Amino acid sequence: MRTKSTLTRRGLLRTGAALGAATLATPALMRRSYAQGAKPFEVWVWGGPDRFDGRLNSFAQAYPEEAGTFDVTVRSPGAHGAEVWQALRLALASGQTLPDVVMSNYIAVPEFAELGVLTDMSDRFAEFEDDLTPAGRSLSVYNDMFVGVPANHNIKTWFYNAAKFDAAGIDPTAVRTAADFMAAGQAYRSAHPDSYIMNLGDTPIHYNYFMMLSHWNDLTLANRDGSYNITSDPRFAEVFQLMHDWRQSGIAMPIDDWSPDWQPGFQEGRIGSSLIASWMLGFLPRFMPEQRGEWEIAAWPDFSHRGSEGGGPVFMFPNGAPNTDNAWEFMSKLHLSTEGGVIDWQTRGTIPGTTSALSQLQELASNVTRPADMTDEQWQLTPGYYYGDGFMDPIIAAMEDFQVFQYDPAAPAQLDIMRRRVNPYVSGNSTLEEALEGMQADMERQIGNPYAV
Amino acid sequence: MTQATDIPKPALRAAAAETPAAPRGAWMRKVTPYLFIAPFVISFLLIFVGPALYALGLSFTNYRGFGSFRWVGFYNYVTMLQYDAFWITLRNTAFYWVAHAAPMMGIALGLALLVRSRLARYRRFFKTTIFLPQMIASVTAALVFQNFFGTTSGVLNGFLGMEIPWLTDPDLAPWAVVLILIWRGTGYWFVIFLAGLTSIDLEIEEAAKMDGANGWQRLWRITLPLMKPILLFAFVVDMVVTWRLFAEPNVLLGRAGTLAPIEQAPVLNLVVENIRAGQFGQAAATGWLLFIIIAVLTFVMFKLIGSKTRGSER
Amino acid sequence: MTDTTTHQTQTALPEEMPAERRSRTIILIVLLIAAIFFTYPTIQMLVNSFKSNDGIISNPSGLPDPWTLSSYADGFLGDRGLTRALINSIIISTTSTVIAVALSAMAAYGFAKFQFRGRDLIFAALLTTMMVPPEVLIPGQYLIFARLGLIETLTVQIIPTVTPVLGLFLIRQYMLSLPDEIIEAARIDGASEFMIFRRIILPMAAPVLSAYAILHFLSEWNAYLWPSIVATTPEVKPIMVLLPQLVDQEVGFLPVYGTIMAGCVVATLPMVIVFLIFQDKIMNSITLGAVK
Repeated sequence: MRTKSTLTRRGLLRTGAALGAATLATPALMRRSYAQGAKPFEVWVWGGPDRFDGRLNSFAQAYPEEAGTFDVTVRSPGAHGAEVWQALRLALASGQTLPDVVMSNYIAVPEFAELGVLTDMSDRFAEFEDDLTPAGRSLSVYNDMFVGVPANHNIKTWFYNAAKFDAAGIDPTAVRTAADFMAAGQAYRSAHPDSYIMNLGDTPIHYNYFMMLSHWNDLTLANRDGSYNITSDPRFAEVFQLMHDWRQSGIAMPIDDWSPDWQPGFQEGRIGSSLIASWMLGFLPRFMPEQRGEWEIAAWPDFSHRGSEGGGPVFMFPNGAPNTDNAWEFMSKLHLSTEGGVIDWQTRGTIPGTTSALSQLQELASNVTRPADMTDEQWQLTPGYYYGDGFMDPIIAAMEDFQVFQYDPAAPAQLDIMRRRVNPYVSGNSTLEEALEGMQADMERQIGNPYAV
Repeated sequence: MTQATDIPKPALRAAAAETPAAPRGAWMRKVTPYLFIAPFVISFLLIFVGPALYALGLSFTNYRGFGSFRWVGFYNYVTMLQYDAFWITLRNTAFYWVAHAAPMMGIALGLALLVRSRLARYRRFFKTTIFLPQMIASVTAALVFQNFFGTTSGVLNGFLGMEIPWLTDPDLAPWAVVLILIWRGTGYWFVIFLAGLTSIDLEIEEAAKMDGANGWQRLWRITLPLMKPILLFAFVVDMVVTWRLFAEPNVLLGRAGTLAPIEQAPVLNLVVENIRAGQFGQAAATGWLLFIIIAVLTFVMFKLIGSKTRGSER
Repeated sequence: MTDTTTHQTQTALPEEMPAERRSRTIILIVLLIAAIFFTYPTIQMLVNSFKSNDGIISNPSGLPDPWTLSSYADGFLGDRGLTRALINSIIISTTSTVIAVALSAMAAYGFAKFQFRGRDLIFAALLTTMMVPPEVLIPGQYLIFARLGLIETLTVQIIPTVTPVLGLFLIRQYMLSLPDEIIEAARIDGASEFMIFRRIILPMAAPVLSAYAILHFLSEWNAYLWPSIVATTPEVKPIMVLLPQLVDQEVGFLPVYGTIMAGCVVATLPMVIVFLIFQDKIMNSITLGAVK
């Protein structure tokens, strides 16, 4: 059913491709061509090429005359961001033609920037620089060089089922300390024996940890000299212990984000709230359209209100790709201009990195109306339709607290080590000391100095 | 690998050599064999030996496949040996071998004996069904078992009406891998044991007649000792194959084409992970470590078998 | 065989008959349990492929309700790319098998039927390399093929598989048993060496060649590790690499088991049909390598 519904939603640009769909020559899964215009470029995204459809639609709505001038090839090397990094590394090693633009969370920007494989976009950014928000700037820049276009901001956001919270007597704005949250979780459990205030399984994802760790902007895994801080800085222990306690106290449903049980958990009402990032705005309407109007949005509690989930997706431009100019034109128009930023937010809930777009959408969100040229189906998947008036206020307020964890060039490898060492502790299969010491030792031995490329 | 059939026929060859050949005969005679083996041998050098040596060189560098690199000596080998994930994946692979090989060989031999038994019926049907899983690719089998063992929408939990996390519980997940290995592998050894039993049939009958032994005695005293070389050979081959295990655990326990968690991963995952991380030097070093392990283990196993079965081999 | 059977029937005493009947039943039951165990997953695959992707979530273990071909349609008619991947697999496996058998047969003939300097040494060296697992070479092969511009092609999935030492060994063993006299007779008749190979040796070695071809094809059809590294674009991806990656196109991450099972059925069915037709040959080919 779900795949069917997308077909009608895919709008203008798809018609040409759809005609050839049954034939052998069709661009297949993981690569799709929107061959229309004279300005070609290839973009890599994770999660399937459909993930780019929304952006194409936004572009077509913001720039109806120009949409047809591009010829976009979308390739999705895998379901996860890490698979995009792997594909890019292999493309670099094998000397294949590089993609013109690659979507990656900010996590991997330091690695590719330090390797010197990203194009310096500083000159092109000049005309947009003044309009960039501090958050947008922090995603665009590495070591004072502009390397990517911010495609969204993964602001820490708390989604909750308002009726369930009311029934349990929980007011999210009154939850401030970690102890408050634990108490709320327990109150929730006793009010709803079949439901949970959060979910955390045996194999938490790296962002479960990094959202918490990004609360401190002076925290790093490694120092420039290659020494590691994991056992010495008590904040690591604090975060891991907190998550361990959530899991072990039973306030967390023991399944993980993106596991096959996750979406059913929401649908069946067993997950009643989620401390997660603002990209979830776009997923809840898809996960459970029938729960429209039941979900509300708050900022994270005070004990961890600053930070982000991996910063956010950034479009970076590999050196030596054939069509950097076309890719830049498309991405900058979509994500650095006011019109593009507003429309992509309206249709998909992405948060723009420009002051002009941000101020416009705040107004629009206070009184949500349906844009003129949107179909029913498109409209019903928009955050405005799903959450109702004023839903952006807590998110825009939380943008004040947006900051990116100080990822270093070895971040992709560090994520894996952290999960391997800390997951067993959180799920009750090892001790805090084992987690911290194991993580530190593995990073020292297997990664060494992350800055020594 | 017997040499028995390899006996040249010197008399015949000599006779042939003396026959007057075509003018360019002598030279052609000399070159011909090389022409026949050249395509294979040259391709093999290019495809196998070249990359092997290149990988050996790589293993002493920190090359990422592009840009510059440094010679790092044995650094890649040392860090891998210090990495607990290396030992965990070694342990996992050893576990996968031990846990599946013994039951699989037992089942295969037992079924072979039953199918060969004079009391068995519908032999052909059973032979076909037991062998059928061999026709199912590893990836396909892993996906079918993933569907079977899924937590919320798995077939087994659907039957049981429960939600047991077969594939995410670290204590249960390895056994699901073992089950696939047994399921897919039994048919292969079953057919080989059947052939083995056929080849020793005559000896069994003769020995049995002399002994006047009953069925069980025949099995323990004659059939199994005669099958021992084949069984031991089976264990060695299966061991070497298991060290190369990759598709089953990763497709079953990974998600959407990603690798299985290290805690359940086979040792080859470290080669693949390093390639995907762009660490070609480290990947090459890991590969060569794996080679050394297989070589040593195979050597040891053959030594053991050699000393145990010398008597029964001709 | 017949001798012993009659012998046993004759000596069997009447009071042993019920015991024998009981063993007969027990053996039948044990074999039936085995048959269920070994066929059930295949049947489950077939049954679940007739559920829709939503149907398989709500009803994983029952019979399809309703029976539908929507998963096949999703896999093979939409933009999933399964058709392309299937064709890629067929091209790769077939080409690899043809080249591998041709190269091995020629070399096997050379090693089996000629005396030449270095013969035993070269052959022994080749056999020794069987100790090296091919996976060891992957980092080296990847970079070498990358320099040749072959990554993300069908070729790069074929080339590393065309020199199977196992195939060479099996075919040579068989050729050793072919009579030299026929070759000599042909030479005396003035047949060229290649003619002898094509007209006499190949037909005589047909049983081993076809048996090894089957083994080789199956192993290429199964290939996963190397293709999953060098073939990541849909144009060149084989079906075994694509199948585990089929996920919900809207949500991502969530496997669509209906479509996956439909793909598995299509990837398996030809093998099973070929097996049912040629099962004796295939089972014999398996024993080639082992019971020697």
